[in-house]
Amino acid sequence: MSESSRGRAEKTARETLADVTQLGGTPNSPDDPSGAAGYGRPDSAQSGIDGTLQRPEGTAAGAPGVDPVEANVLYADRITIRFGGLTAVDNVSFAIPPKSVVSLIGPNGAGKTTFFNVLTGLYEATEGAVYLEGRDITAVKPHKRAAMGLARTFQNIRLFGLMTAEENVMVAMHSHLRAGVMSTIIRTPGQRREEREARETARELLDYVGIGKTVGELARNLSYGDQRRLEIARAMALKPKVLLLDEPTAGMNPQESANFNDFVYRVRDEKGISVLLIEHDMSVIMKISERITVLDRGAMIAEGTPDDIRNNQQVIEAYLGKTGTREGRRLPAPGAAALGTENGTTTTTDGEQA
Amino acid sequence: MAAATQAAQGSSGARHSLGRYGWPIGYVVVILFLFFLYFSILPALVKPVQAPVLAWLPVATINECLMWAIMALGLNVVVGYAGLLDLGYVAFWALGGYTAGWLMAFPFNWEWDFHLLSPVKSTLPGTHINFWLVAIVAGVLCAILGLIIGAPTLRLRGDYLALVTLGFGEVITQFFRNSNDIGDANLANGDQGISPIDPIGTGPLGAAGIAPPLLTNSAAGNVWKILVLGLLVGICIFVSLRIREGRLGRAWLALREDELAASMMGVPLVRVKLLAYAVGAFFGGIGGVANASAITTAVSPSGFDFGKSVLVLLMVVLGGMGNVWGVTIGAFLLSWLNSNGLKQIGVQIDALAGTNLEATLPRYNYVILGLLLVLMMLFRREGLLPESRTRALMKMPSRTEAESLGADSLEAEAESEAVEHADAQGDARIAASAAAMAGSAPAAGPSSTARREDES
Repeated sequence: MSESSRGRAEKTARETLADVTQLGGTPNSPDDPSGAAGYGRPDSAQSGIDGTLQRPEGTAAGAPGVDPVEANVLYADRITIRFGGLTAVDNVSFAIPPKSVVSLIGPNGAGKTTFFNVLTGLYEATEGAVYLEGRDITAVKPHKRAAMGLARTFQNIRLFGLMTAEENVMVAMHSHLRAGVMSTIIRTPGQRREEREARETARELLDYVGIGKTVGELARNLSYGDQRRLEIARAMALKPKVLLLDEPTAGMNPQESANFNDFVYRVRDEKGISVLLIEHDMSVIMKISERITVLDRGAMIAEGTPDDIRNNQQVIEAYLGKTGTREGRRLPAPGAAALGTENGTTTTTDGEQA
Repeated sequence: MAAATQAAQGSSGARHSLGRYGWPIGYVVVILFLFFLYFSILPALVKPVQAPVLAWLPVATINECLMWAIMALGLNVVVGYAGLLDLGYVAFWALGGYTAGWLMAFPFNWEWDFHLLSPVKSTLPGTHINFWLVAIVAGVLCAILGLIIGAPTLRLRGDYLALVTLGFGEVITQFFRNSNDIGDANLANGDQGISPIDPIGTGPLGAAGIAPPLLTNSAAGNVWKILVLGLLVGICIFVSLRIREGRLGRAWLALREDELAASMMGVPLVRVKLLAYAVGAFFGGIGGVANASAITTAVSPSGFDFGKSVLVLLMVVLGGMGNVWGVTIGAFLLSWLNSNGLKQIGVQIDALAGTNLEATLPRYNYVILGLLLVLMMLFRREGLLPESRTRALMKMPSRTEAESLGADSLEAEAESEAVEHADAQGDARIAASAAAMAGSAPAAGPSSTARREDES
């Protein structure tokens, strides 16, 4: 590979990111209406996204004065994961404050999904601890964590394809239902009431995510967007404290992803659920998150508001690669950016790690 | 496709209402019809009508079919509902049979006599406990054995799980084969087995003189066994259907679909899997007692070979995994072919072609059943009477699959087009960047690949 071709490739990538950051709007900047206007968040004033950002203390790891374990719904304390000699995640602390939308981003292979899997209990952290509402859940099994209020969706949709939408949601209520084998066989009044209520709740949840019509459809027959919604409805059936969304907008068209942003705020404000998003697509994250943590090669390289992240030299380098000779070009200031279009957004990197 | 979905929904809706009221009535009618057919109708008919019916479907065969149906329904819970392939199901059958051997038979090594609500004469030596009590005890014992077998296999999936269950099935048989000398104790009389096992009693019906007091392998006894075994099958169907509709049934289906996703949705895999084994084994235990008491009247290790496990599995697969009715029909069909059908077919061919297949055809039963399975897998993979959801899987690709092939992407395109038109500038920008990308593609391709390798 020649030097010039590499330079060209980087240039292309750089332009793409520049586009992304411009087009992504700057919802957190009070003097730029484009973000809010483009994505129509009616509740933005109350939610404090624009301008008056509520910045809970103890969000950043090790903030003085406040115990991060108590202050946050979910707190991951100095997580390290090694697979043999490979350190996939290195000493990363991460906090999800109550009623917040936070994100974890990073280029492909940065260790996002690995870290995510530690939060959900799929992987065991080599070092470090995870706390849910002040309780140490490091040793708690995935299904128990789910029952305790840690719900997730999957990067590549994992619904129960041969079950109806309603059944999919009801499966997630397993931990909240009490009926045993005998009461199911005899069909006691208690079991019947429980089933009826579960069914009603399931329908409400399907309505909530906007796919109420699909109750009796097999999940595999739903459209892609509806399947994504169903996954969220299913996760919400766990009555979660934290909703972990793994690349939720992957494969969505711009309209769908705009609606999705609204939806995430609704979930946070109406249900009081904290949302963690994992993305490698900067544009989605910048618009939606209150705080962003950036991983690169297993290490946390930045943490802060979208504005902080946008201007962070290390983040730019992580996404674009470091240039040997030239000084990394700063991205244009948010206000100076030409009013962009949302549909021009492209992902900074294509493909996705398995 | 919409029409197909609707049709599927319609049929499932019909099945639902049928499941609520229709099936118990229908089932009772069928069993009562069979009973009265052999009890009063056939004996009253003239020989030319009576003979072919008895030749094609003797009473003993019906009983055998019913017994196999219990086994198949039990295995259906494990394989059909929870999706755990079990090749050692015969283990539960054996334990159930031997429980009958221990609790309702003549003694083979011990001295005490114990009678509990047993229909046999109280002067008989040995332990004699009522059939229904023994069935429950055997069910519980087998459920415990199911937990023991299930526990170490919890982490296994697919092929590995099948191999371990296969091993367990063989271990149990070998245990009973060597059971005459385990730590100097004769636990189950080894190769000889235990015999005879008490027949089922009829209690008040027998006392009133309506039914024979003991349901032995006599003609009258066999006819009444239809009712007893029919009742057991009915209970198994009822329990299967009820559990399927509840919390546990949903968890099983979720487990079958996607184990990881199920656990992430709060389904405790260990518990749910063990319950599948336990419930399946419970049925197996009851079937084992029914088999020992009503069909074979004896238990010995040779009766519990690997072939039996395969045959039960065959019934489940052929009938339609997960569908209670399909499995029941599969059990009836295969056990009929195995016990009497092949022989009768041989007899008919002999009569037509003058061959001598009557004796040979039954001997080749496994060849024929194997061939049947191959044909089924080629032409009707989902089974005779599949679950409505499985049918959907076999018949058409999922919507997302279809979309990825481009079949259904038109509306998505239309949607995004509407958004794009909102800003022509954006279009121009995309076009420009696309052109730029295309221009640099040959160079960018390999370099970006290299970069990705760097990262990972």
